[in-house]
Amino acid sequence: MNISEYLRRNITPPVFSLMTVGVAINLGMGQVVALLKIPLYLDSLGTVIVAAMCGIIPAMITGIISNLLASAVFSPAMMFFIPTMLVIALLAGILTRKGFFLRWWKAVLGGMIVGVCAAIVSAPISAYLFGGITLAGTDFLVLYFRATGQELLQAVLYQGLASDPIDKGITFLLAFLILSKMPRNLLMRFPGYHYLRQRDA
Amino acid sequence: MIRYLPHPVPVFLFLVLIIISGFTLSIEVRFIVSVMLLLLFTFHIHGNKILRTIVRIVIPLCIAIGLFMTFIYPETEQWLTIAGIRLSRDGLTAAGEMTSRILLLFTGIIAFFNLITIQRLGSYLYQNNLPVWLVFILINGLKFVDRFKYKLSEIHFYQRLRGMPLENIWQRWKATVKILIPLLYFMIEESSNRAIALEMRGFTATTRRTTLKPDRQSTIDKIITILISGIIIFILLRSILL
Repeated sequence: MNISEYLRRNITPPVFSLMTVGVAINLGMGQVVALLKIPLYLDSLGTVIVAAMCGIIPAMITGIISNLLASAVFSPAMMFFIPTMLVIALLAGILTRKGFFLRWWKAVLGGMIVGVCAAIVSAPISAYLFGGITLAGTDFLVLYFRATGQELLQAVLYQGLASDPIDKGITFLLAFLILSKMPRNLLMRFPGYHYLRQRDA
Repeated sequence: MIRYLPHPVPVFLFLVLIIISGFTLSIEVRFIVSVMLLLLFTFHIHGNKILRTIVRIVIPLCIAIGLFMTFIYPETEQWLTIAGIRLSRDGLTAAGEMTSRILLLFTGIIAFFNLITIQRLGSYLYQNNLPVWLVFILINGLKFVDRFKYKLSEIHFYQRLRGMPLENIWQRWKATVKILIPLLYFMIEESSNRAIALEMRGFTATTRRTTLKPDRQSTIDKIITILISGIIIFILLRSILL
């Protein structure tokens, strides 16, 4: 089955409506974080939820569109972090199929694995394009590692490894809590249902 | 005031040209091109919006990166010391390299999204047979963000009325889940209804699409497209051959 055939069969109205919601979550989580004063980004929550409920390809498309729209609305820098979002979508989809959304501690562990991979992918982009500065709260960590004599790429990578696993771990935990409390009749509309509620099957 | 609103094709080619230039031109040329673009945009109908975004996002980022690269460049010897702060030649060069590239790239991206709205881009892509669901996500994504924010504040308000505590970090963390579940349920329901309505109207049909007002290129657009394509080919050939 080629990609166009796959898309025609698998991107059904419930799936692309959830993808739209995923885009809105990715873009709107900044508002939630600001409203509840939580010191996190949570900007990939929508992608993780779509990956868990619909699969890898819909999550990747959600991630690409989210970052494109974010670069139009918030900061053009977001466009360059599309590869990071693709890695998050890919790993979130794979981990869902491996049963990482069946227990809370597995979700946290999965999130931390994804966080490490996301840090490795985003470090070269952040270092070579922005010199490690993205005007985020974690910039001071780059400054610290750089001041201790580390190479720029190493400093950015260490900063990513220090902050991304925590952020992604919490993102996955939040996704797990949301998905585990979602009504079953809603979850059953999506192809990923069997990977989320194995106990009910 | 320039009232010309270009077609998506020349604007996309312009963005490609800017991205290629950001990685091939020298620092001085990048700064000159960026300043010329900014001057050009001041006379455009969307000039204020473009310049406001650049001042709000690009300038602070460039200043932060410039300062960071200039002062914290530990592996090279110092070149100049001002009030005890070390400056290195390599640091200054790196600062110029990064800030000029970011200024140029970001100016191009900001201009792209201001000259071509997401709605027009979606409409153009729909006419050119992009899958309808992709156009649906692209156009509705931003609309849903507004709905998301509106519904979020509404649910937050009612949860507060019910006595949801938000004093410490643990209570706020628990509140996040309590707010997000009804919010997501509502958003998925609303989005599903829209998708079903589209499906019932045959939006996913694979027959040839027709439009009331086809988005065609004008003569000026065609000339600009040819010019930019020529420059892109020239830059690529030059970078391959030299």
